[in-house]
This record gives sequence, C-alpha cells and structure tokens, in this order.
Amino acid sequence: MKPLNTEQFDLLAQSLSRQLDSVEVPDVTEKVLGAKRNHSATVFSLKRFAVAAAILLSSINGAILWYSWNYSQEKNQTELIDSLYSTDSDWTTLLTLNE
Amino acid sequence: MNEQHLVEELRNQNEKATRLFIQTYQRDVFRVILKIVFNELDAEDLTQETFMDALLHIRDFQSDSSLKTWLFRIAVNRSLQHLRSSKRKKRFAVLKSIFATESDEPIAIPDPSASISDIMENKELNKALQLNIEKLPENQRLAFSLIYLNGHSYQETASIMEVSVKAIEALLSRAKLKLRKSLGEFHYETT
Repeated sequence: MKPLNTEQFDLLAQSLSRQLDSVEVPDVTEKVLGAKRNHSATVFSLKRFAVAAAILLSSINGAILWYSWNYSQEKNQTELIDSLYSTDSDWTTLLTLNE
Repeated sequence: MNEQHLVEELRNQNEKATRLFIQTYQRDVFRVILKIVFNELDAEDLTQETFMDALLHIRDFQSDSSLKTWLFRIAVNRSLQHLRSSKRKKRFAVLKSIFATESDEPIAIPDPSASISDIMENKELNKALQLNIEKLPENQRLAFSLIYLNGHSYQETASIMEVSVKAIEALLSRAKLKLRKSLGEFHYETT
C-alpha cells in the first residue's frame, strides 16, 4: 500500500483547515468579563472573610489572654491571702502589707 | 494601543483594555483550539478559560515573547489538559465506546472513481484525516495542528510549544509520515 503523496496530503490538510475555518467564531467577550467579575467578587469576599476571621481570632486570643491573666492574678491574691491567714503565717508580713 | 500599553492596562484591570484584548485575539485563539480539539463547544469553553487564565496571570507575562504567543501557549496547554481529561473519561466510558458509531469504523468514500481533487474536498476523507490526527501522540498532534492547520511557522510553533525548531521538524516529520501512511491505506482501501 502506497502512502498519499506530499501534494495529495498537503491538499487534504488544507481542505480540513478550510473546513474548520468555516466554523463560526463565538464572541466570548461578555462571558469572560462576567466570569472575571464573579472571580473578583469571590476573591474580594474571601479576602473580607479572611480579614473578619483574623479579627475574630485575635479578639478570641486577646480575650483568652485577658481571662488567663485575670485568673492568675486572682489566684495569686487568693493564695497570698490564704497563706497570710494560715496558722503558720508570719504576722509581721501581714502587718507590713496593711501599712 | 500598543502591546506594552495594553499589558499595563490589563494589569491595572482596565475593563476597556480587557474587552479590546479579548476582541482582538478571540478569533485566533478559538481557531487554534478548535484545530487541536476538533469540537466547537469544547473550543468555545476552552477559549473562555484561556482568556480567564491570561487575565488572572497577566502579571506573569514577560516580554520575551509576544502577547499573542503567550496567549497561544496558554490555549495549547488548556487544550492538552482537555485532551488528557477526555482520554481519562473515555477509558471509563466502556458502554459509550461499545455503542459508538464513529471513531474506528471505516469511512466509505461515496464514489470510488472520484478524482483526487474531488477526494480532497470530500468530507469523509477530511474526517479520516481528523480521526488520524486524534490518534497521534500529543506533541506530534500539536506540531501538526499548529503548522499544517493553523499555518504557523516552525519558529512560532517552537516558541508556543517551548521546544527547539529542530524538535518541531522531527515531530512534524513523524506526524506526516504516520498520517500519510494511514490515509494512504484508507485511500487505497476505499478506491
């Protein structure tokens, strides 16, 4: 079996190319612009969400820190008072504190 | 508006420039894709995706190639991804392939005594060429499509495919040999 000669082959390729060129080109301008607007809006929403989440997380973090600091202060005071009022406490310390 | 100015405006997300960019290149991008995937609807979707990719990554564009070549590179990569995913889908679509009427079925030329010029205009033979192009390895298919069907030069094709001109010559030579042989068989079997 002989292959097609170069001329026949070139003509055939041109013919297929022409056939494909006859396909109407769709206008995708509005679709692309719409998709880009949606994408930008989504990115903007995601950024806003990320900022809000960051603020919320730092607020929670701050609250936890504030609470733990407060708790440790309270605990320290309680321990101090407990130790002062305990039977073996040093009354001179209590007197110094009262002054 | 020259290319550099257009790129700057695209980076600034100027809608007027974006519109101009799409309208200037959509015809060429659609044709390049269509001549790789051979399907109008897929080509339309891939054209949109190509422009979306280009607009989202316009900051990555470097002036070592033209904007058009860069855009074609995106289009070709998108088309390749599409072909690969189609192949994967086909592998699993067993029933579809069993009942398919096209693809490997022999195509009959209506008039076996037709002259070669008639045959060149024959849609059946065009279809046979298309089916045989689809069977080529990816790189040969791309090289053939860009040079033979889209009319790009070897240099342009090399730049789009990011390979050397010599590699393009080798790919095209192999593609042509395979196609001529398979089409010759088809031609002589049916005449």
